Amino acid sequence: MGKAKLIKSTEGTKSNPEGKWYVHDQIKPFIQGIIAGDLDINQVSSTLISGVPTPWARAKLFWFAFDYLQRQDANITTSGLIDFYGILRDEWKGIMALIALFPDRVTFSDPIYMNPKENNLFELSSAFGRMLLDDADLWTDQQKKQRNPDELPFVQLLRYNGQIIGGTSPFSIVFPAVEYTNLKHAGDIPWYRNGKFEDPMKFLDKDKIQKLYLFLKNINGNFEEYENNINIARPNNKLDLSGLKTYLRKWQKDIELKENNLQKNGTVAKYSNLAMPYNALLSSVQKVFQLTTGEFTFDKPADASLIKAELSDLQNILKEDKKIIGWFESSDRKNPLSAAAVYYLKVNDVRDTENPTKYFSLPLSMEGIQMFTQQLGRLVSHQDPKFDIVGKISEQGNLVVDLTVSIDNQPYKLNSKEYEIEWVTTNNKVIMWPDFISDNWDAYYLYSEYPLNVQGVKFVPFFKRGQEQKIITVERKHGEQNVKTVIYSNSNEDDLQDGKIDITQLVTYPAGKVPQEMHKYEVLKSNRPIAGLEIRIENAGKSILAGYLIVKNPGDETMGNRKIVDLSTENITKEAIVGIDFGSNNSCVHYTLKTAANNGAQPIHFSNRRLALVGIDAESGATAERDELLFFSNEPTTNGQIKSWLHEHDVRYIGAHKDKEIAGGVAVNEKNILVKEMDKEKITTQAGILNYNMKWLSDIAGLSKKTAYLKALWLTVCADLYAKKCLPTELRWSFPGSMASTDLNQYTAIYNGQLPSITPILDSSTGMRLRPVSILEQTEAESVCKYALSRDYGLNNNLFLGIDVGGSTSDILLLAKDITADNVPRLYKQSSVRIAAGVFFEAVIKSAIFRKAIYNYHQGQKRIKVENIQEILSEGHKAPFYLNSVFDQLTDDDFSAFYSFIGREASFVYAIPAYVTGLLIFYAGKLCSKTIKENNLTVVREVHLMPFGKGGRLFHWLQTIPGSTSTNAYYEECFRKGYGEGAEAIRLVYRNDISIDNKSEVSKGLAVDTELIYDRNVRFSSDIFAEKNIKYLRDGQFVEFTEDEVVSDEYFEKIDKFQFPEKLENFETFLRIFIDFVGYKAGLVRNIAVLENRSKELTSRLSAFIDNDSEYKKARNAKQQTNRFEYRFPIFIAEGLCYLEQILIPEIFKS
Amino acid sequence: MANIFVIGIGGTGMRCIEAFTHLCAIGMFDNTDVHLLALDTDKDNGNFTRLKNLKEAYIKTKGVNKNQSALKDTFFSAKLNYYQFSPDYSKLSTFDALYNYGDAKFSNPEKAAIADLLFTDNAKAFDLKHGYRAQTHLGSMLMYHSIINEIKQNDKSDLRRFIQELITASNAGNPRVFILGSVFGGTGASSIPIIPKAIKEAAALISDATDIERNAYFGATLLTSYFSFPLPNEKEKQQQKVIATSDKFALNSQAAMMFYEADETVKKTYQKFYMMGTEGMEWQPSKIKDKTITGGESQENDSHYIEMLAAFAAYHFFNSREEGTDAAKLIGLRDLKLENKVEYLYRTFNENGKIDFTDFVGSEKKEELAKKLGLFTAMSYLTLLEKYDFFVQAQTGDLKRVKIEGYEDINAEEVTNLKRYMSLFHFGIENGSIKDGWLRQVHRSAGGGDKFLLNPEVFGCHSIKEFDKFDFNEKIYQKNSDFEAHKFKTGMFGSIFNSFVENFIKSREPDSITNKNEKLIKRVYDTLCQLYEFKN
Repeated sequence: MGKAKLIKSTEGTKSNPEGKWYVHDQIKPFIQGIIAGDLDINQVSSTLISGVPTPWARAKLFWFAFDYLQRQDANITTSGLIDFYGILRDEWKGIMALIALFPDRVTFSDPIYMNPKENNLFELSSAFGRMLLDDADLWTDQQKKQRNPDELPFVQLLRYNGQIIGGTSPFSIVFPAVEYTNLKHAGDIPWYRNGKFEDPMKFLDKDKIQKLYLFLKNINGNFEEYENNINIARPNNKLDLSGLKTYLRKWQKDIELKENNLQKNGTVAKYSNLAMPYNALLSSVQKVFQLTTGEFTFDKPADASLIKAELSDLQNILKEDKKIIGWFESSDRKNPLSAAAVYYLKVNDVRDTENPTKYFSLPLSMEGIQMFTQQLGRLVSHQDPKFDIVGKISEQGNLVVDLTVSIDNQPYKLNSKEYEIEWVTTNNKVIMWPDFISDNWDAYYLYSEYPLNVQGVKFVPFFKRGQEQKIITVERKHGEQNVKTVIYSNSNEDDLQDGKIDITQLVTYPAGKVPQEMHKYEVLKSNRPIAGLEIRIENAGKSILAGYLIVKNPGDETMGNRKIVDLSTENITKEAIVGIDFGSNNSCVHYTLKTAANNGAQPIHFSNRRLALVGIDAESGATAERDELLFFSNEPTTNGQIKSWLHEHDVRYIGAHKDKEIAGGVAVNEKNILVKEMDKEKITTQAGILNYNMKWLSDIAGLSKKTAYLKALWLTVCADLYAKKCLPTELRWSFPGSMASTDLNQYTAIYNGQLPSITPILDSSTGMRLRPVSILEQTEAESVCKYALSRDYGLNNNLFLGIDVGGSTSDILLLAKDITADNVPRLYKQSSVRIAAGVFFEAVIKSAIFRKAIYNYHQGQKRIKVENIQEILSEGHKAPFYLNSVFDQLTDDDFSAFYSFIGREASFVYAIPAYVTGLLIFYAGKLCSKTIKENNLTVVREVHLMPFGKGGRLFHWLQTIPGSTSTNAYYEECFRKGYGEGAEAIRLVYRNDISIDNKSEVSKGLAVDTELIYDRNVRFSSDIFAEKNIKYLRDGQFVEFTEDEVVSDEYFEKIDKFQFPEKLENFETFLRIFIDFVGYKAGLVRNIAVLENRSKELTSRLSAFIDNDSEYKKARNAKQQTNRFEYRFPIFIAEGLCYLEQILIPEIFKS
Repeated sequence: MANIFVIGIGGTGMRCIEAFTHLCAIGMFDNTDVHLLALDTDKDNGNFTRLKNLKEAYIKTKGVNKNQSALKDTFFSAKLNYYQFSPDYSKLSTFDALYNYGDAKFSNPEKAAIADLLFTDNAKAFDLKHGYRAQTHLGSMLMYHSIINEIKQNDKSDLRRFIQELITASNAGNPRVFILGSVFGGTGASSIPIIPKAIKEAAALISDATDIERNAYFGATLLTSYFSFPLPNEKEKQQQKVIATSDKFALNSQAAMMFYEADETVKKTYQKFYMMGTEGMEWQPSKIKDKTITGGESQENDSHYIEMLAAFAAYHFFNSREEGTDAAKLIGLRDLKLENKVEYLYRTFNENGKIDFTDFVGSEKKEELAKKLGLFTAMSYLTLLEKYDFFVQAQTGDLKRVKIEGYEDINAEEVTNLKRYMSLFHFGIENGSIKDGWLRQVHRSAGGGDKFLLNPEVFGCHSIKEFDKFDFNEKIYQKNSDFEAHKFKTGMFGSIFNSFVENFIKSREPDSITNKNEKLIKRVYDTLCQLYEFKN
């Protein structure tokens, strides 16, 4: 017998007669039994890989490892090879456990396709693809290949924290790479030893065993489908995977035998980018149902009505994409993000002792967000270990998230997920407004400094319904199934329409059309409240989900002293009367409840209803940031007053929306802004143009500005009232009596048309917009009267002389009881004259000493902070702004000290309030005289002077310096000289009842209902010439007016018809009193001789002065439009104003 | 006239071709056009050089600048068409360089990462000039692409001509291709599984209508470890990033066998695998015993009888049935192909450790082999020993003295090459010393003495003097063997040469052979048959 001439094998030694070729019928056992010698395992490893004649040797070996296990004959003595296969299987188990337990660190690359037909032979992937030879079909998505014969084979790289550790393989699902030593951050994986994975089983705790068990159970359940998919093209030649299959089943069985109380349900590591057939194998669907009770269950209730929500897979709760957005706690820790308006995942970073508190966007999927919407507060609060999301920062600085959910009363801890952190280092913000939600409120605004049309991180809003607290979705067909799709602000029109969401992109960053340095922001309006922001970032050219910021639920008490409320079901029926006083520099709004309209008005607080969803809203008083100039104000007031400032958006940002609210500009109430440049109407800020002094603008642009301002104001008012569960059913607004009808008509259109149309309050039953049912206008004087009467200042038999000093006009009103009408108070006169506090601004521009005094005062104060105030010294034209800013920050307690300080440093400044107030009192004296005489008010013995308005403080200045005695004497003299004959019988009583909250009187008066008689004609018949010897050319002849003659519009159409006397008797009388007071008695001004001498120039200046008056020009222009000329100016006041601007201020302030 | 295609790959493959060539020389492939492709990565390899010398001597023996043809019943009967191919690694000498790995890593890191998944950094970076060094996972990929690239880039190459011949044969019928090489080494082990596929792809580039894989039958040796060489020392290990060590040959063999057994491509392309190897690996073929040779001209290893068995495997393959099943129950090639079935064949040798002719060819062919090998050996004495120098004397006219003439017009170069061939076959004389030829190396590999086919005294000569004295008339075949009787006497006063000449003169000049040198060889063949009493 011959002996086989073969390599030595423990099996298959053949003895046959020599001289023939025989077929070896036991080839596998023979190979198995080959005696390979006494080799150590490492040698076996490298030799085997290099010895198998295919580049895919490594993948093949793992198949052999299972295949030979399956076929291994226990009776055959094995050598190193078969032992080595045991080690390969251990290594494979190690890597499978890694996949099962660390889906947060393990990733599969997208399929890397290998094109065997690639023309370039030495292109790497195609070269490897070519070498698959007849195995290529196994490496191809066979389902796709059935449709597309050219479908290519692929491999997906398996990475651990970015390092390649293996790849997919049809033979063994995955196979470890030839080398993966020095894995970083694998310290907590004890079965990674000496640069490779080993059998993990002895290293796993119960929790990990449980997870691994579910993973294996899932794979075993899917294995048949995996096999079928692989063998689609091989009906008669199937790849034999029985070795692998048996091994996997045994592994599961071993765990079952070893461990008690294994949960049969739970999460399984998920890898969503796996391609077929691997995705079929690892696919796991663990449906979870949320019951209407809020509890979770794996078992679908028979009664569908018990189901509140359905989660397609438990593991889907945490998001897949690998990035997360993180924030550091603010360094001063004053504004913890835990108190922000959105839910964050708060993490204590033990590695960072300096800034241990970190915050992260919620690492949930949209499905998870929807599932937990109303329980997010509980989830992030760490109150319940069974329902908790916990984050920690890993060794390599990633965020590791553990989520535990209680399902069927069992806590299920999902697979940890690890996310790479993208720290937010910019101060960009996303802010929403208002801070409440309601199904009956349809205007929600979102300001974002992360425009969606700019590359980089994006915060994409989505919406919810109020009462339901459900994120708004629409149903869409995907294949055979209906899928609920969340609607985002940038969803397509159909989705938005079907979801009944109206989105208006009010402000859009014109990407590519403006220089890069332009501020990048956008503002949108939605009719539904913002539920949250989906954060998307660019990663390797793809947009990936980086977490969510979800607006806190109504009632959540983690926002410090704020709380979002849901007003959907509130009974909002209290009707309010709203009074709006729009001033040149400041506006004021008050309201009363209709049921108690005579009980005094309440201020609108312009509450800060901004909710910062990203970033921290700036603190009150700090220099305004751009978002504070371009979105709703965050500066509340206590007295209903707000600045009459409109910050506009660059026209390129608003396009066709320029007439819409907020797009047209926003009302700014900042105390402190950065002034780059300014003139009489505009301030250039870091965010663009801030408009002020708009009250008298009437051209198209001016009208737009006024409209935009009042719209923004109205929205805020509506929000404040709605939050107080009130409806603004009546709107009252004021105007200066001197206002021309052209201006008035514009305001009427705004108040009666524009504002009601944007009222964002809906009738809960009809869904119709609830506009104010009554809109009424009053002069400022009328309003002030009503206010005074509402406060019961003790009118008695006295005549109230109210002087409401505004920024550009002063209203003088005379109020007394009408004895002919049951002593009901009557407004006898209301004169509106255009001399007011604004003159101060001219003065401060001209006087370096005055500016220095203001600067020094500022520097001596701690609380008052005006950014860049040093500019007041060098840039005089900006001084009015800085002066105003200082004024704005003075409290009622500060004024006295302020007046004293200015008195010490620049006493001459007091000449201005002395002049203006004296002039007004002199003129008012004349009005009083006329009124008492005309109306036979014989009972009047006292005239009570009551300064009002913001500018009313001019009166207060003098009460400090030079003091009340001399000042009141000065006022009395002005009044008496003005009153003229009979003055000795009248006593002027200076009242300082209104020394706080000046300015609020008009709006308060608007909002109250008090009994007052007033004749609308008085609006036009109160102003008098108040100067003697004024002649007017009428019908070819000069007629002379008495000083009591009512000033009528008609006289002024042709100014040259006036003839002014050489000696302006009344004015010179006043001037003497003034000079005597400021020069001799109070010693405020030194060079008084020149002031007196130059009064002679006035006559010649007067015509030109009026002719150049901007209001006069406006009246002439209006005449061309309306054929109606409206302009009246008491000549005495005109004289006074002309003297003030052209002589007094230049002389006194010429320093 | 049969066309057969033989491919020898790598160092072992070269030696197998060498053995195969000797089979051709002794006349085992009558009337056959042999297309022989030698494929090695290391063109400076000593075995490769030896093979080139051998084939050159063979071809030139059959005629210099003459049309050659296959003959019957003579030595050098097969027409040998020799082709060779070596991938050029002189410029791009690493995997990294060839596949532009560095650039790919930069421009398409994901695709480049597949290489990281499958190859170690060392594998990607070692110098390929000395072959694949047992890195068959790398070598298979490199060889596959080198073959296709050669066809794409060079339309006058040997490789292209070889494939062209195969295409022609494929268009005419079902050519057979046999691949010789080891499964435990580098180049051969790398290439065996991919050669059919590479040829198919290469052929498709030349003629897209041709499907070699469909038409041709493929067989190969699965030649497992049968020799060893010294393990590298530490210095050598450090110098060479990758080094093949023979202690892992058995494991390599096992891994490769496992692969062949399971691989889908192999199953689809091959019909017969001839497994062979030895139980031990004591045989050290290298002439340099004290260091590991990675390649180059120093790698000239002695031949082994296993390589001869490999050549006989090819012999069997080419002579196996295409249809049906033979007496030994071996399935015909067609059926195997249709069923994607591979026959794993092995052969038994006599357990007494003595290698007999039967061991290579079976009883039915043993006499033919004994005759041809024995007579060819006998001719080597007549050719190589100065005292006979039969062919030179015939060509120079010196044999006219014994009335042998008419061969003076033989191209002297043909005679020179015959002598060269015979020295490579049996023994050479260099500077007065004996240099073992293939036959003596194979004898030694079998254990020497009487353990290999012929009379041990054939191998007992170690000097010219001993050779001169050797009575090859009586001592070619072993005593007590089936062929002991095949010898001739010279008479008390006669000589081997005289006996030979006498009989030669009686032999008939073959008409069908045109080349004088081949005529002469044929007459020598006939004469020796006569003398040793073999049927012609």
